[in-house]
Amino acid sequence: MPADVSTAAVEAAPAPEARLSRRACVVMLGGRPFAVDVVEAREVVMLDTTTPVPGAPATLVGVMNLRGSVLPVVEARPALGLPVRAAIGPPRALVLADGEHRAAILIERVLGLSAFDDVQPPAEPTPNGLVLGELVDQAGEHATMLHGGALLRAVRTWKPIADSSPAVPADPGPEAPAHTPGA
Amino acid sequence: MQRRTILRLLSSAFLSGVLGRAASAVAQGAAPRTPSTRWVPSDGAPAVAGAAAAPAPAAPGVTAKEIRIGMSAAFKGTAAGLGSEFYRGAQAYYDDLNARGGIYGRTLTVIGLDDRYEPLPCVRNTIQLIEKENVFFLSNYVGTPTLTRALPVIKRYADQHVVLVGNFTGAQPQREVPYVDHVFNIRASYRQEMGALVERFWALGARNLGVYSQADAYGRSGTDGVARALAQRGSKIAAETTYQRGAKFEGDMSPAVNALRRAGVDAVLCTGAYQGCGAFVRTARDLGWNVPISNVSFVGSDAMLKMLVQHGKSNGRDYTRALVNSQVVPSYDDLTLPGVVEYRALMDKYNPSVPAALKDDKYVAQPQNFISLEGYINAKVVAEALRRAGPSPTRVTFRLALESLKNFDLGIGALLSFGGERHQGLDSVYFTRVDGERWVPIADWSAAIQA
Repeated sequence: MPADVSTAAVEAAPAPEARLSRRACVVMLGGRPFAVDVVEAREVVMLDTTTPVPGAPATLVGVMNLRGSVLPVVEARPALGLPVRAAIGPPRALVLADGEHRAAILIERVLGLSAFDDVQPPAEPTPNGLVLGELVDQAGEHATMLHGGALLRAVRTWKPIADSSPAVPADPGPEAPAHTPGA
Repeated sequence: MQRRTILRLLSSAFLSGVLGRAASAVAQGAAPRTPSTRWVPSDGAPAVAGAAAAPAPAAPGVTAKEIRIGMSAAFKGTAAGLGSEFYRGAQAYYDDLNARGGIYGRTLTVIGLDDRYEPLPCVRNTIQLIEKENVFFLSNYVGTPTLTRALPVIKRYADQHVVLVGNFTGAQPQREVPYVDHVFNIRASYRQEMGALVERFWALGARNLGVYSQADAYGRSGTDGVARALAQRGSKIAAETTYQRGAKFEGDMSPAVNALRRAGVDAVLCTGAYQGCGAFVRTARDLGWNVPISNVSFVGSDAMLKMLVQHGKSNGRDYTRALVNSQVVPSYDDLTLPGVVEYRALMDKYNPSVPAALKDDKYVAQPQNFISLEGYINAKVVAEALRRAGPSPTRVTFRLALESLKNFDLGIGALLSFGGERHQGLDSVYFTRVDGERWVPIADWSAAIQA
């Protein structure tokens, strides 16, 4: 019996829709790359002035004026179990949006936009479903994919300082303040 | 002009830093001799227009005695076998060519740089090869995650007409706009390999096909091939699993095995490297799951087989049943093919070594395998194009010479054709199974996938 050989020329079949590439905004948080689907990421803003909110939980750094709208500025790294690091360059934040809800999440730097096909689910579910899984972009680079909507929902449920229950998991030890409220 | 300046600045920065420490080696050929006769195209094809005209200013990487070829590949680390064997196969052909006087009196010298199968080193190597090592062209890159990152860099040198000839990856980016113009792919694509594998499994009645792949651009390329082939049949992948690049053979892949097993797949199509895929096969068989498993050409079939056989000898289990690998070159045991006979003779005669600076002490070279055969075939294509480019080659005439190759007989039972609109030379996909401790061609698929 002769050996089986295929000599089919290159096929031009269209890609199944489910595999079309998506894009994510990749930022540095706690010294690690994290990604947010561009559908949930609105923009990156420089923080000029942030107004502290009396009695707010420590995670709410303050509020900012973004083109006339008041936007909460949030420190999300402790909630993700990450150390707080100083921003590289001027303080900046990634604005997330989920319907009418928006918030600016403090970040250390922007790494860029990344195209990806799918996300590998985490080995174990994360609290509040903040982490969708591991993204490997088309160039082979890794980043942890965050669920922007879940993060915004978590922000809204974080309790004020006056409440005796801790709002976030134990801080692994801040290395440096990311942003000085009111600075 | 600004773009070039940026590239030069980038290059200077790299060269003064990381690249200064990068492993580099030059494989020296024999002393050149002037050929006694002028070459005439063997198939009657005309030499490239202008090639034999008055000597042009020397092209980059071309001197009176030498033509320099740049290669970035995994020479060290978990994928060391891929780059090392690819290099050895090409070098066997170049050694013989150089010993016979080279091409128009010029020996061919491969400048190899190690990227460890990682994207960033491959990008740096590419810049170094073009800017510092001053190579005439690039050839025999290894890997999808590496090459896909290097492609934009290669494209940036379009104004210098730099091309990449032959690579050990069947992924799509270098086969499509905007990069295809700068790459001459010789082998069939992963899409073709996966399409052919799906076709065979489908013909045998398999409808639930599962995927196990490396979590990067390479793995996605293979998975995409499966998805497309199934979409043509109105079906979808039943279950997908991944593993991280760099996984070791000893790794526990039971989460992936169990997930695919729970999904009830009829066969698993893998897209990975020999250690990660070998770990999957070993784990599946250890868990008593004898599902047919396939791999594509890049996997490093012989290195994977060696690991499976050695492990099987330690516990008396056969890990090679129902194991099917696709290849893009024929069996290196097929002595009916003159190209294979020549390859084996040259590998025996020269047994090329990877330069000391690139050598991975843990990797033991193999006398023959699919990878070195592919490297040898690529070198043969390169040499033919250099002959056609004439005694005063430029990057432009070299490119035109490559595109002039039509129905070129490599002695492997398949004819290679390039063209202005065709930058993939071969379309053949071969199928192999394990017999004893060797890969042999599949003639009977039903027998090949029996547990």
